[in-house]
Amino acid sequence: MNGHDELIELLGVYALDAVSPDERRAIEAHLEVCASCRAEVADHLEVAAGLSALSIASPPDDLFARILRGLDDTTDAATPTPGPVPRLHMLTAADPAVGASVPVPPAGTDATAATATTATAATAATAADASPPPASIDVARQARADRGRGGTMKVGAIIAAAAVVIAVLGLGLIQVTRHSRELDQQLAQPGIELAADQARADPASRQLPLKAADGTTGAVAVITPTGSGYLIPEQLDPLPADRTYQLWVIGDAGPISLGVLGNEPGVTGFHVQGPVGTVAITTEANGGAPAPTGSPLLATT
Amino acid sequence: MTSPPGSYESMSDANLVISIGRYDQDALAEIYRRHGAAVFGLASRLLQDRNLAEDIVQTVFVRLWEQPERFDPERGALRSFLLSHTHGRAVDLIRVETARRRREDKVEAQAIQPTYDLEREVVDLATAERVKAALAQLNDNERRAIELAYFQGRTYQEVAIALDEPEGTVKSRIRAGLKKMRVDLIDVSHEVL
Repeated sequence: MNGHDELIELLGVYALDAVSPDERRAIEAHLEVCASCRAEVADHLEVAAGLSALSIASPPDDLFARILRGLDDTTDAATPTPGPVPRLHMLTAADPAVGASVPVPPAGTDATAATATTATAATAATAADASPPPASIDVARQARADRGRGGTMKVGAIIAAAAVVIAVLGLGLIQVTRHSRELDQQLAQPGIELAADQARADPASRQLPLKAADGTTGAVAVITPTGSGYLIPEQLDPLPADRTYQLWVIGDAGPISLGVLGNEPGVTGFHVQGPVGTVAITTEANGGAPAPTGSPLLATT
Repeated sequence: MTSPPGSYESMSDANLVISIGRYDQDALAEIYRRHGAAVFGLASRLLQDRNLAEDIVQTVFVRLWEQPERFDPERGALRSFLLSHTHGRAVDLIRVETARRRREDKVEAQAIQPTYDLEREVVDLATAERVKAALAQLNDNERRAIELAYFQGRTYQEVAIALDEPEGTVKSRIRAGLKKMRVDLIDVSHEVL
């Protein structure tokens, strides 16, 4: 399934997210080295985007304001000083508005001004298409290089900021409450599935298929660079009530349990540190076992 | 100092993304104004749940804010980049939910009955004509295969079951259908509808 001729047949369904995770991985590895397939996928994505005109709908008026509130935390965490300023000289952009922007976003952006209105947007976009293309998105990339891993820093910075507020200011309780609520909201979003989803979308994450003896993938372990892991079941049949799936990492020190998953596991989080050996799933008696009692049902290769 | 009032409207999507790289929330607001309805609409269509769709919109725009460098203008328009992310996230949610239901119900997946007509809810007359022209080039099987995959988030294997056709046939039909629509639709994605 790795040859160009075989993969090319999948490019259409890949662009519509209609492939299996294994096929997706194979295609994306191929796209890294095949310009003609990249171009075809780009075309398919443009066509799909055109079709999506059939589903345009106005979002709630306050949705962008909610997005902005989330960004405030990100920005606070990531820009303690106006770091990107020195790089402004890199902008030779034909677009004066780019050079005029500043690294620290203006407070209190008027969210209502951002509410999507289809008719006026059409005019804007038509005008936008006529403006000269940027020299390179590398400017943005460079600007973000100093920012570090914003997504990872975000929660840590929120917690750190909250701790400082508690220690120094009694009045800071309001601030802590606000941060906590937002943190809760993030954690309560369609739950761990979204977190796993985001980890899976991060190219820096490792995706380890756990395969059965016949080669089929029963689950995927996604491990972020910080060691946060998610087990995403794909084909795990429910077990009898007195049995459970159990997740293991097997390294030089032998098998270490990463968790007892239950008899009908959903997406499960775990954490690993350092190099990860084989990740495996066994079936055990209810309650789990201190060490695997049989051969793994699924394992990474 | 911010950009002069109104200047954002004249900026290209790619230049707005550069401004986002400099933490310019007004640039993000302009991108949301241009593409937010498409992102929300697609997520709503796929998930049939406004709350989940709102979550997806937030995910998509926060990700653009946090990782603007992931948009490569040489690989396509910003709108298709955002919608691709939207579609992928929504489909992931659909499949997690489908897997959960299957486990709970302990039943095999039902054969899918394609009921949604792609031409049912065209919102813009000019665009409608273009999309209709594009769709008119497809035969019924191509249309239904694309509809099930794109708007219902089905894998091609599931589409094959629903349409009672070989998987290879479905793959080929979807690819051929997308190619047929290329000329008519590829410009649509560069416009805001």
